[in-house]
Amino acid sequence: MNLRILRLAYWLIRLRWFAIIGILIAYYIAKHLLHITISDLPIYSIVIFLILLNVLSFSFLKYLQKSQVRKSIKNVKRVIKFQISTDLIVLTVLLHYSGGVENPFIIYYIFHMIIGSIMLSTKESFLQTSFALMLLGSMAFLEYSGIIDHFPLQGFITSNMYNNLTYLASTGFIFISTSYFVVYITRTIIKQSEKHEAAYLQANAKLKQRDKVKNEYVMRITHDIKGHITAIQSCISVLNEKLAGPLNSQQEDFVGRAHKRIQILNKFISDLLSITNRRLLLQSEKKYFSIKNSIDEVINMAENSAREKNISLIKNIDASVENIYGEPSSIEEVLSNLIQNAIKYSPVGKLVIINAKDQHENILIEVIDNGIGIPEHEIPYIFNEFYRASNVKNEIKDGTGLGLAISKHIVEEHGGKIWVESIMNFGTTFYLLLKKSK
Amino acid sequence: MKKNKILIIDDDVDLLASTKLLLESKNYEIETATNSKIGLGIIKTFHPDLIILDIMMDTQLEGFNFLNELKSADNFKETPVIMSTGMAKSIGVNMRAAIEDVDSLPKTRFIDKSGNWEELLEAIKDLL
Repeated sequence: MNLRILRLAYWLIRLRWFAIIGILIAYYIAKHLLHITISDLPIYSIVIFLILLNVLSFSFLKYLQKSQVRKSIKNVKRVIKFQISTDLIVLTVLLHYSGGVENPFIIYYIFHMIIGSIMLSTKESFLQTSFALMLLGSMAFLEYSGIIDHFPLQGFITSNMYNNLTYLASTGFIFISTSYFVVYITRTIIKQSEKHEAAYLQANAKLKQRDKVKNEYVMRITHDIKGHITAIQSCISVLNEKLAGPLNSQQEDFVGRAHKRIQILNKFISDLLSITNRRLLLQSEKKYFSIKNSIDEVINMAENSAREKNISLIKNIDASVENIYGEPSSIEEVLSNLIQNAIKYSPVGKLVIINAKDQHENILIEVIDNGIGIPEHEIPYIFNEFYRASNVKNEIKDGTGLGLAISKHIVEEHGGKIWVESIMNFGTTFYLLLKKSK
Repeated sequence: MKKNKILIIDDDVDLLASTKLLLESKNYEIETATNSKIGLGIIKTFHPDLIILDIMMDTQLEGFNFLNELKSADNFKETPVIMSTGMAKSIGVNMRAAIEDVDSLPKTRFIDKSGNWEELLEAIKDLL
């Protein structure tokens, strides 16, 4: 709501620039194309006054935006009220110098009333409308009674309507009734829209709360399941490692299968816990750390699995690649996911290349493999939770479909980007763009 | 050769039994306890060279409280401790940083309780 007020205040200023241009165009057309007599000085004075008003209002709003919030909202409302009142006075003066009630632009009061109704409360809107009608009425009366001069639009209207009582009375009646009716309709529409907006915000907050409850629930359940799985894995490991005595070949085969499956399940649950927790945990501990060291460490940890497949890990890190701002263990988790994937999906004996390039404000990390690739039509989905590309699902069973989803979540939380390019049966390159500073 | 002594404190008896068997096969002398109170009693007589401690037992932070108690007692300040939890990743960086960086808790390691023994064995080797 508060932001809405501020937006409206700026909108009013933008509208006024259009009004200034509109006045100048109307003045030009009236004077030079329609050859109507209009005195220049009041028009120019008013235009200059409006420009000053706009510049001042804009600067004041900017100043308020920087100052204390609660106080400034009140002041923004004051600025709006002041502007609307000033606009009404300016319009009246402008009309007075250009034909008074004979000027068809008197209809523009209605615009001001609509704008006022959008920005102000119902009571304030009716007050502003009454103020506008009072200004218009006073002008009409003072010109009619000859207390102030009438500046006719010579060449435009020939008969003197400003002192025609019937015309004044009937126009006045139509004008007054139209004004109040317009304000009433506008306020009704605005109130409805405000009601909808409030309901929408409330529903949104409720959804967020429910999502949190759901995540906490997933977290609890997952954690409880993980306790059991871990114990089962540990017990099966006892058999698998033959700590409880020798197994015959069939027993060994089945214990081996069970052991493998339980490892996959455990990894899946760890990933699920990790991603759920990241959604729940809003703050993380970010600091400046050496991304170069992190890359080295993750490559070190991946050496074992690379050696098993006779894969060489090659790194090219620009000499100037050093510190970035972020949460080191999260970024290392992303790097580890990408490098382990590259190894997992590469045939035996291939290369995995890790490049880190200094790009002024960012570090670009590339993880390049000559693996099986990702089918082109599946690329848009690979960062989705639980998604596994069709060509890996069949061949490699031990994926959870969560690694890339977690990675994307982490990278975006760090204000970075992650994307992929891949050619089937040729290779895949993952790109990781990380910001150096906050 | 004298065997290194390890005390495992965990409320999961199945995990205790299997881990005990594994570590005994690697030539460690093992005692187990299902809560920190029993653990404290064993420490005084067993004098372990290393303690493996579950963080979440009866209460969410039982392991942490026990760790603090241990590290503030002169006799056991230097005893290495491996903190294990099923929530390593989810516990967040703050707690991990608190354990690994703070000088007041020397020789403390934090590992993910995953049923994956390699990580555990490596941590034990590092600390002993």
